[in-house]
Amino acid sequence: MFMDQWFPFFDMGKTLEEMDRVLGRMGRPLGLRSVPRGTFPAINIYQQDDAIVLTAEAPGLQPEDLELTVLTESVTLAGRRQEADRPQDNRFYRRERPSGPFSRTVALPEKVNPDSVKAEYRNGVLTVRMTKAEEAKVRKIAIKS
Amino acid sequence: MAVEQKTTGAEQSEATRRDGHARYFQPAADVIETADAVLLNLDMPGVAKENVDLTIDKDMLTIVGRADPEQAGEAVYRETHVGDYQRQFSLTADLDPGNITAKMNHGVLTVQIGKAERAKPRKVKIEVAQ
Repeated sequence: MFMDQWFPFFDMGKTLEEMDRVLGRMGRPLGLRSVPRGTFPAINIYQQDDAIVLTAEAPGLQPEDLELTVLTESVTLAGRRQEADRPQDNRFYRRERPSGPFSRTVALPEKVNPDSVKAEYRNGVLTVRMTKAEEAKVRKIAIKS
Repeated sequence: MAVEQKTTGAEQSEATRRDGHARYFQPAADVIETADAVLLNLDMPGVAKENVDLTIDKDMLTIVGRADPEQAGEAVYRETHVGDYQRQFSLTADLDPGNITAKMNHGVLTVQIGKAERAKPRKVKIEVAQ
């Protein structure tokens, strides 16, 4: 069965000449989007009037693989990214996507109410919307004249 | 997934208008060879299935993903920018550009390109001379 042989018809160095064109606009090529080890998923935190919104770019997960914990002043995101199924005779020619377990905790810029959290996982991005704790909300003050 | 015309000038200027200047990020990719095909797995978080374009022009495969808009509000902590993705791959003669399938799920695009028949490993039967 040829599956346990080493593909004698291929010289992979030549055969799969995959060339990545780095796309630049305005003469500025952008590097490969990959986060340094230890910072998967990439997290942004946005401040809105009444809420703090955290986004985490974590593609390829099943929502049940994600564990989200929200405390008054921090958020913890843990999970595991499965490695692609790799039967013995498959070969990686390029491996840039991170896999394995991850756990990240980030501090929040303001206190939030952990009971009022809405989390949505869409297109591989987890969006966590947390209402600010009462004392942290922006309050408009009426000016009497 | 339909194979469309190569990115036109009109689409490029749409990308230009976003954020005021065009920025493309290269999505991280795994390239895996199997017996019958080459698989590409690309991470494009924030890209919906309908916003992915796969184009083949001669031997060049171009993948473009338009990302969902960024969250509103001021980013007080930022590890990543939101932007569209683009990456290109040269397909060698061993691959069959007519035999491509693609799936998009949870921000991961999986492209499968079949090997041309003559490039697949095959057994050669040896006849015994009489």
